[in-house]
Amino acid sequence: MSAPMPQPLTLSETALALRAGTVTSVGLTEAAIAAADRHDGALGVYLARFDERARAAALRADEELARGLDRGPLHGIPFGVKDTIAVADGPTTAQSLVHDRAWWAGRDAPVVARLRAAGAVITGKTTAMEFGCGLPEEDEPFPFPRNPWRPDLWAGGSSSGSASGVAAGFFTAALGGDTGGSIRMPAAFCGVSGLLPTFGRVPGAGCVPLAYSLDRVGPLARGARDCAAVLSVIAGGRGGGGESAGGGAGRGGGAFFGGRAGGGGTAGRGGGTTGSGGGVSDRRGGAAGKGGRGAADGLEVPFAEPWFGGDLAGLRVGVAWAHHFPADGDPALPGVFDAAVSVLTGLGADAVEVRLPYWRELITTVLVTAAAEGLAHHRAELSRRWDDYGVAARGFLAAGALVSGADYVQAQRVRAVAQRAVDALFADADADVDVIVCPTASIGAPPFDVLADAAGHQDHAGVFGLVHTPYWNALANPVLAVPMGVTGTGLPLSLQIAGPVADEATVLRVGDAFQERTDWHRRAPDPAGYAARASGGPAGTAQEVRA
Amino acid sequence: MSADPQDVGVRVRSLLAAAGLPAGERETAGLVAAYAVQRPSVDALFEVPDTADARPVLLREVVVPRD
Repeated sequence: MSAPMPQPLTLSETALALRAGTVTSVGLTEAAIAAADRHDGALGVYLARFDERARAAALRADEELARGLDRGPLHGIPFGVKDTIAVADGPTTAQSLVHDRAWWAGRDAPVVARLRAAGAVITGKTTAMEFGCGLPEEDEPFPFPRNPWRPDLWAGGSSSGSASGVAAGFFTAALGGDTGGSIRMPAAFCGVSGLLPTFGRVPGAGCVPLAYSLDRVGPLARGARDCAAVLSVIAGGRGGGGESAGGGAGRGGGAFFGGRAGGGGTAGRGGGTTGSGGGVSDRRGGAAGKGGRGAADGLEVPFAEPWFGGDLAGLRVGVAWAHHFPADGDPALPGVFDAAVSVLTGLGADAVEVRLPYWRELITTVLVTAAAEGLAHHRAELSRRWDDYGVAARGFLAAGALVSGADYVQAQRVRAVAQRAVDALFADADADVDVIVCPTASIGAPPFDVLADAAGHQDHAGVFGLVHTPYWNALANPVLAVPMGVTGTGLPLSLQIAGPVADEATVLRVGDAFQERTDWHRRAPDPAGYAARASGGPAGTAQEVRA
Repeated sequence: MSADPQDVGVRVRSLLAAAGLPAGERETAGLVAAYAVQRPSVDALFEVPDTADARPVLLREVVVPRD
């Protein structure tokens, strides 16, 4: 039996070490580059690397800290950015042969600009499923996103490289995008933490859309506290140079989900007063309850990191068992989930079973919405360049042609009703929970050969049906995925912690408390497991863009 | 009521053609199979009782001119 892997530092700990002088940004960045040099061929983390620019940024970060200029917790921290998000250092490909390389060329998306302004070191662009809806395909010239825990398995997606890169130490944190689980699913399969922020919390300008009313941008890192640090930098719609992820100028949540709750509904923009098709005709929608948590503040108020530490006394945790434990789920999952809930109750929380309303219906609404909105974005190009799209991506998008206008509108009506029902779980006297917990997936990372159906499309009746992230994309609520244990074969399993709209603070506090008592988020895969593996398949390798 | 599989195939091919999507036979067969599985769930959305008075959440940028 090999010796246990040394535990990596979290972002928060790295930030402290930088200030204590025990590490430097240059040292962190060189280590990150060295890890990529050694292992990226095996893992397929990067689509593009910016080594020289990262070195220059790291040097600048160290110089600034040395002269007393401290830009905050991300100062000097190496980051990866999903290649659906514009970074000035190189083109955005969305892991597609079709996507226009001139799109946002030479510009940073607002979220990236905010990272840079906070002193972060951008190391490169990470692998993604094509437009967020494809699959790894051997005849496509892109790296295969392999799982650092077992490289014959998938890293998850679509923020594949952002998750596997954190797990393998290519960078300390990353940005991803999540339309149906694309942050939380790879975070789960790779054993790191990932946050789906409240809809509209983070600007989405400069991010290649998949489905406008579902897309969100968020962080991946080792711990909940790390995700909070990143969110504190990237949150806020204003000043972002464009619309929020899935919404307009920081009012997105409100525009979709009911006025003030999502932060919209402010007089003048975001609806709330329109009455005729404006986003906010029904003020019950999206209300966060509990004395107006979120409802009173909305997203116009900058996200403030919660107070971390202490116990969870008085907190009510809703435990969602139903739908998450199918017969073909991993046998270890029930015990691991039970143990995770016990950790929370051991911290003083009260657990109460809840049933997530409109479960099947909301999953259907996500399929309908993503396909319809995705096809709206792609149809012209898809009809002209069908063969340049991957089989899985074009199959996903083509499904939008099978959805009628009435189907789409009805899906949005069901989303409105379901949002109210979920809000009620957080507000009703019967339930009155502060957070809801459930497994992120019923399985550990799957092999590549089960991802597609006979046509080469995502197999929603198979493995994707065992991933329990899409439900929350139909809603506006924030959800954190944290590692909670392992399968019988040692693969990471993950816990979702969902909270009221705009209440990331509670979600992150619960995640952090859990991680104070567990070390699943600190566990790192042994590089010996993937060091000897050559790049899988005929996939391409990351390009280095030199300054 | 389940649709005739042949009708489903015709319907899917027709919709793909109308959208100008040149799917090959294997992919079309996959979309036909997926449609047959998912269509009842989509149709069921219209039976969700609480939606009778629900308005859809559709994004609108509403700009109120300044005085």
